[in-house]
Amino acid sequence: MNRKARAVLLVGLLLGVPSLWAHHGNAPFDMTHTVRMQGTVRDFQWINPHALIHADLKDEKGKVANWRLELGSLGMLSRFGWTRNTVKRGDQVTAEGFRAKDGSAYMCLVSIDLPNGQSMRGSP
Amino acid sequence: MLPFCRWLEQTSLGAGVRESLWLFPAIETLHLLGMAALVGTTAVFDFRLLGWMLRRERVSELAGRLLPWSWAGFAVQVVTGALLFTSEAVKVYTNPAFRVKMLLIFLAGVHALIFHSSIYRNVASWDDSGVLPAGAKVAGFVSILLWIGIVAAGRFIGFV
Repeated sequence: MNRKARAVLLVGLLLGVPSLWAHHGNAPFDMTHTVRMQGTVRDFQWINPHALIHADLKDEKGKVANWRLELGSLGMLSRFGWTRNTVKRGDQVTAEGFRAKDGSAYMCLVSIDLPNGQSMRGSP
Repeated sequence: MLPFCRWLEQTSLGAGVRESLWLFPAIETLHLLGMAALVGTTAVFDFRLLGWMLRRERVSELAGRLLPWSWAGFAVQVVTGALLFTSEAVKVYTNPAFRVKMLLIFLAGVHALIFHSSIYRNVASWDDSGVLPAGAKVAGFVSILLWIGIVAAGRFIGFV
């Protein structure tokens, strides 16, 4: 096989690797606009690689669902002033974020308004 | 297996990795370096089998120089991979990409065993040649495909 044919084959192999194509971090979310919803926190998970909040939120049609709010990494959240106790079960919050494109009750949290009036940044 | 995973992620080790600010990315860093050593040296040997690289090097000598690095990389991967697994065992155990990855690692092991116990036994007869027998070329190609698959499946654990 000559040098050119080998180079073509190698590039072809690399193009075949889906991970080089398919993903960048925010692909599952509709980043064109945010949604804002109010509700009650059910669970806050201070975990790697992304912290999670589960909350019963009411959408614009008045429908309440158990939403999964994905936050940034623990290191980033610490820099934004978060600790594992920033959000607690039962907290009344307003969440703002990017909805999942697939329409499920899942969002990338941009910010959250806490019961004490503080607004916290949720992801980079 | 699931009860074991549930227990594992409740251990202080699992919780420590899961809730740490810097340990998790530090382990991921080591997992990437281990991958570089393991997949890098494996690919160099596979490229030699295919005749794409280092054609004037004796195959057996190259194997002797590369394989210790492959094994060292593999050891790093087992330890760091186990730590990452511990931190989210249930989620990862049920993840389809993780299962594909484990299956492909198993197949890569079987493939290496078959290679060393069949084609490679005659290495003396083609050790010096730049163009190797078809069996050796096929082995190199299959190995590269398997390792690309393993890396891709690993990356996809976070996205499926």
